[in-house]
Amino acid sequence: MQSDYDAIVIGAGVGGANAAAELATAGWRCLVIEAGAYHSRQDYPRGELDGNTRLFWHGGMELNRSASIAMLRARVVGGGSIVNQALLDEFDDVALDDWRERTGFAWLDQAGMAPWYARARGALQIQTVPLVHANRNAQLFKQGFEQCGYQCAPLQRGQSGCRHEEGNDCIECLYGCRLDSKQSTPLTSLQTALKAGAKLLTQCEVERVSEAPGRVTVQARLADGRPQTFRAGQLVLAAGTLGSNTVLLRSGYAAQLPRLGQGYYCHPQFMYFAHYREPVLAHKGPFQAYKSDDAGFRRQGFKLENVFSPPIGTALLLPGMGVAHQADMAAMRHYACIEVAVRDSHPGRLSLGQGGRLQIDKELDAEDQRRATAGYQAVQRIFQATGAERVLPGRFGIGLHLMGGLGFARRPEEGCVGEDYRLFGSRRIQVADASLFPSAPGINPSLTIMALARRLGRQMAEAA
Amino acid sequence: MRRESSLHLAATLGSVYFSARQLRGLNRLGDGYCPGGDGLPSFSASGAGWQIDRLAEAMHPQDRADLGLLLDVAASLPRPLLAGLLRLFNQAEHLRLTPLRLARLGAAGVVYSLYYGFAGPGGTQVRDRLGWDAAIRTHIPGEPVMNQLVRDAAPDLAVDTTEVAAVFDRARAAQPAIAALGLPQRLALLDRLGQVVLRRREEIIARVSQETGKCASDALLGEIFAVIDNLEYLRRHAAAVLADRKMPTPLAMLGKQSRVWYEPLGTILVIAPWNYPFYQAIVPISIAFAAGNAVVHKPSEYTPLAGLVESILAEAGFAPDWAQVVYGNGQIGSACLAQSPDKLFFTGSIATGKRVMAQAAELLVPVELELGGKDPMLVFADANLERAVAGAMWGAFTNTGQSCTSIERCYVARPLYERFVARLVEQTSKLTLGTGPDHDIGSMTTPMQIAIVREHLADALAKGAMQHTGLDWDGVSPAIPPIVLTQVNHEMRVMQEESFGPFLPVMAFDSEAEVVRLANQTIYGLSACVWGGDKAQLERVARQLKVGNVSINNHMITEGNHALPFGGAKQSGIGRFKGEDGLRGFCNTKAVMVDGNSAKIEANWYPFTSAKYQALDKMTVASRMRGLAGIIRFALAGLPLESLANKLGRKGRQP
Repeated sequence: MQSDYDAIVIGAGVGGANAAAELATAGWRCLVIEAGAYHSRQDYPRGELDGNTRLFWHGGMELNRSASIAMLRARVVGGGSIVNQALLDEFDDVALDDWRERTGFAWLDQAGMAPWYARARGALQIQTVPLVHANRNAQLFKQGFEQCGYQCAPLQRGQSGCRHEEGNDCIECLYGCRLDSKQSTPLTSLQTALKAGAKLLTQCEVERVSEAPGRVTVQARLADGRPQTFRAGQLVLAAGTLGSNTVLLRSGYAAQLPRLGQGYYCHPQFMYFAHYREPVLAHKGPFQAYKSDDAGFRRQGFKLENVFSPPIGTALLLPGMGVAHQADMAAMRHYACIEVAVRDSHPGRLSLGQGGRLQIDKELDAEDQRRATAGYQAVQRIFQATGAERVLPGRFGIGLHLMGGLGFARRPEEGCVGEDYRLFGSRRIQVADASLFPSAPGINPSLTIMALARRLGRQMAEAA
Repeated sequence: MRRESSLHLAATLGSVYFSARQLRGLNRLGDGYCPGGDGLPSFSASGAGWQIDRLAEAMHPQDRADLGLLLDVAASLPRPLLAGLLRLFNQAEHLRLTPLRLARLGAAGVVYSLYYGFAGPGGTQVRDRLGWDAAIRTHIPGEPVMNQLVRDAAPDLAVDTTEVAAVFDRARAAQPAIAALGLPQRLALLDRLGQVVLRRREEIIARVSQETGKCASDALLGEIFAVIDNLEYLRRHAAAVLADRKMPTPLAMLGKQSRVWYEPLGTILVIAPWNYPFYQAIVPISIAFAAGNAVVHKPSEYTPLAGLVESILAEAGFAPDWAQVVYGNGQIGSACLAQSPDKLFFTGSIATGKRVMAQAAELLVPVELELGGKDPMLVFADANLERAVAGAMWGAFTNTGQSCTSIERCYVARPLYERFVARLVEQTSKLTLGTGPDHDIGSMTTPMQIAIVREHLADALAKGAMQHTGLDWDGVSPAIPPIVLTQVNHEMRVMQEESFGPFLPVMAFDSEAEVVRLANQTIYGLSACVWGGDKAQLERVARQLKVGNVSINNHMITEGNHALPFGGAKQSGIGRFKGEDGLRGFCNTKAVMVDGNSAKIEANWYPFTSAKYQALDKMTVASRMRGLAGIIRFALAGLPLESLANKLGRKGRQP
């Protein structure tokens, strides 16, 4: 029953793969445990239905307690990097100053993060979405911004070339990129880790972790139900915010960490569709090309992105039902879509509910509601300026950036993880995913998760 | 009445999570959200509801239970009330009532996921009406390097060998009781087993269909009918096959009796594949048990049918230790083999078969290996076209081609070739995909096999093959449409390696000698079939094929007849299963000779003397008896030898 590793990394997503890459290349014997299965460009699911069920937890979405926000949590080797849009941005002063103020960690500024951002960027290819292929949804977005006097910018994306001239539509790659263009971890950091000798156990769900002098123990269960126990000198928790919090809650760490599960953020996103007389074909080509780059929006706590959703997602979001709803669905090719992403200030809370199931308490308070409304007003102006015939607001919010619950902090009264990335009171359990975030940055978190995980991996390797 | 029961069967097959009534509720709910019209089918007409398990298996059990309740309500409410309820759900966002919002998201989520996920046969119509044409058109060839890295990175998992050892301890302890039951008692138990299998067949079919993706008819025929058929064979014939046999006694042993006894070996380890998970459990268990053995059965980790086999055996009256099931992957199989069973019965691939045999060699555990095939179909010019085409389709596509004896290569005589291909393509394109009772072909069972099919297809097309059917397969979906290929040659993997998928590559031949050479040009030698009107030619060809089984003007029927032995030649396997050979294969075939308790000293015993040597020499020469004179000569040589031996023996060697 003994399996001995220098380190066990829970989660093969963005955080886990980057930490494992640093540890394995430094000669550590690593085991990466991932609940999801491994897929390659050859066998990613085709289509939204199987994508939702095979690449996400619980069939595609998890709801907050009031069923007003749906959280999307990937469950696949590569985690979020398989199902995201690979938008990679560094944090600005607004985000980092807030973190530094909350934690007192001096390195949380642009200069302190710069080498780690560079290291994260160095492991992958980043391109600006080629505007020559931008579809009409993107053009309307840009045109609206110009007419309303807002600033927008082309998106930076982790991709190596999507060959749009050959007729490829990136919306298909929300279930894994069949072009091997999107810089998912199996093509980048995870591949580096495996080449350096890291082991990878897929379709194995971690149930509990515990720490004793000299080692950590991980109790897990294979897909066929067989229990497995692994032991290692160090543990890196990188199961994603919902996963890492669940594992610690289940393992009874609430007693040791009074703030466990608190300070949960998710950048609630609200999608708005608008009907145009001429076809928009928002699903074609790069499918996302611009983001807002507007100081006013940033001050008001939201940003806008030109996005779209495949049919199931669109059907769930569109208002109405029955014949009218079906008629709206049949008009999909005429919809443009803009999303408001709120930089949420009001924290939610993760806990275990009935039967040990994760329970997500997350609401918009008056301030966050104000931010969402301000975003909606900007969206309405853009749609109006570009000749939209009708606006259809999405009927619920979506959480794609799941953050916090194990926030960085000075003291256990303020968070769960200290400056050395370790849980307060622990010598062997460190965290390497977005659950470290002490607040919502209002910026895509992926590149910062990579940078933080790289930094942790190097620190562990150097300390050994 | 009949209509109702077939509907019930369809509904059971539609879901392992939801009842027929709940599925009716889903269709009613679905029609509320998606009534259709304006070029769109209604939810129920789209057939998407039958695909509910694609969603249900990924759901949290609690959500699944809640959905079940909702579907029950939807099934029972009068339509106007149901419509009102859905309208109430729809207002939930504004009312801010959490339970209603949850119900709305749950109901609409399931309905929209299936309908706008284009799940049913009507999905294409929905997709076209929406104009949803997002695609990735660039194909990046070759295998990603990461695939091998991930395979190599799999850690060695700790296997709890104490558990496995305990299973074998129990089996060994239980086996004498199985032997003591006696054959009539064991056969009575197997008869009850047949009754239980029949009574619970819908449940078995649903489970098998769920885990393998096979269609209802494949499951009924391959997993139920074939199991019952085998049990019937045992009931009728096992007593005769396992009875003590009297054997001839040579003249030199006059007065003695010769016998063969068929005794249990002890504990049999069965390592089973995923293509016929129920059949490959019950049939080896029942044959080995009939012969008096205890059995440890290790199903494939892909199709464990967890708990099903044990429950059925228990209901038939088997004690728990008589046939036990151990679950897990190859490491568990290896841990079982390490327990040194008295025989291993393995069914699987050549690659795994080699590994298993290597481990068995170390322990000197006898093995029977049923491995892969690349079965050829040989169609001569005078074959009945309709029959040969229909047989080719069934032989190649049954169980989605995932049978070791499915037709993997088809050679057609040049004069018939054009007409054969035309008819085959026409008929194949009419086959339906799905798991219901009105479907012909189910889904593939494992992702690795889908990958092999994809690679074989890509390889064949790259080398110039022409694909006639199944052009809409996306290369990933487990629902692979049947694929007819022509312009194939033996350089292609699809003509050399086992594809184990719904392929039918067809090649023309010009002469009997050529087709025999082509058919034998493979490492495999499982089975083959020859079709035509000239009986003498068919038999001549059948005798030249290096295979374990051959069907004439049919396919796979030797396997269907449980009185016949089944097994492979060349690398397709070692040993024979089923029939007399199969029953006796699970026996210690014990040779017995009985002699009298007289004072007689045998001629070949001590002491040896020169005189005795000469007498023995005479007898040896005479032992090649020919005719009456030969027998007399042997008797004349034997009688003095016998008296000399008795005299010498009684006196002992003189100093």
